[in-house]
Amino acid sequence: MRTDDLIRAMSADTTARQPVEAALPGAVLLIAALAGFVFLGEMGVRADLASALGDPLVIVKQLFPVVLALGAFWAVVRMSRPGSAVPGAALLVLATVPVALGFAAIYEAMILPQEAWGMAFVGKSRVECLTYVVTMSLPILAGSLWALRRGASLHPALSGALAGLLSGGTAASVYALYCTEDSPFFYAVWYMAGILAVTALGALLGSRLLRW
Amino acid sequence: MPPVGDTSLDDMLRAANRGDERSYADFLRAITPLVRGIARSRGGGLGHDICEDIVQETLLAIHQKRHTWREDAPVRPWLYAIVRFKVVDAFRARGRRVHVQIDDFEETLAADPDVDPTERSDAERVIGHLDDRSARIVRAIGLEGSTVPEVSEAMDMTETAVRVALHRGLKKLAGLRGRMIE
Repeated sequence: MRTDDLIRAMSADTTARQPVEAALPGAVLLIAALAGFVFLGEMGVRADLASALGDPLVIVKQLFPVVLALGAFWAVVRMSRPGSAVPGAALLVLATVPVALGFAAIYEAMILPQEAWGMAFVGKSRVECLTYVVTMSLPILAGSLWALRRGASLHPALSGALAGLLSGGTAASVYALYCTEDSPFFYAVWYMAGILAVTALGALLGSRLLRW
Repeated sequence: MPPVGDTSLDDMLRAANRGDERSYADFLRAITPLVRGIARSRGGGLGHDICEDIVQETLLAIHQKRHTWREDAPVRPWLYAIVRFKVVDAFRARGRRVHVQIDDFEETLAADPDVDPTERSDAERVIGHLDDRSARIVRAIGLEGSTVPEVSEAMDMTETAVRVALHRGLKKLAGLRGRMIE
């Protein structure tokens, strides 16, 4: 087949395809809503949620995964378009998370007696936390990768990692509604461990599934 | 042939995205010499047949990913990024490492075709792997120059069905090529 023949065939194919930014938010929100509905329906929202949200440490716990997910979403959408750089602002959004977690940990260190630090870090639900955060992330990650396959990332592994961060962050923010471990010594470590595990899995899957 | 490197490329692809087949063909024909020039200057030693296969692979990739261009941005940075990525990728799949710099696009002269790969080309081999109907449609429109309405009448399918089969066929073609070479 000559190149000119191929061009003729391609130009007759005018079927439009949705861009990533049209497919990704719907996929993530829909799957996250379903996963959250099943999880919270089964496990329940923490009973003291309203009063707990008066505590700045709980606010950080609830918001940092959301911020991670938003920053990752922004960056991964940009990366799906060849020739457009990841906006510095998206990286700045992501960078606020370690800073916020650091301040939260310093604050906790000041109010919590030193003997209690170890207990706060170990917690009572780290296995539960890791299990549920990772499990809820998986369907979201699958949906994100499906949506991202229509993009054209020049760095498939990095895009996959961002998809993992997006999925892990979304799942952790749902899990936080149930979890009553409010010490940053706990959530900065165990939430983050779950989110980063999904990020690594996303990189692995992305390097295969997001090639084109 | 319209010149490459002015705003008309943007206009052509914009019109193409509105379903204008002629503008889309113009766009693809306008960028082909540029893609060919890059492929030849990077992989001269491989022979023009293989380079032409790489040109076709790159054009198919541009076709599959054309919706990733944002219409409010100039088309050239987007186009160059895809061409660079796919040309490097295509040579790597054939066991050759090449570098393509963005500067190359300004310096490389557009190359005209002087080979006419037909049966021996990858495209022909890959079309053989499509299902019968898609292969017939791709051939009818590409090789015989039939239009979608003509094919739909000849094959007793609706125009929509022809377009869907063509779309799927080309998508599969783009996917298969990558895998069959590796």
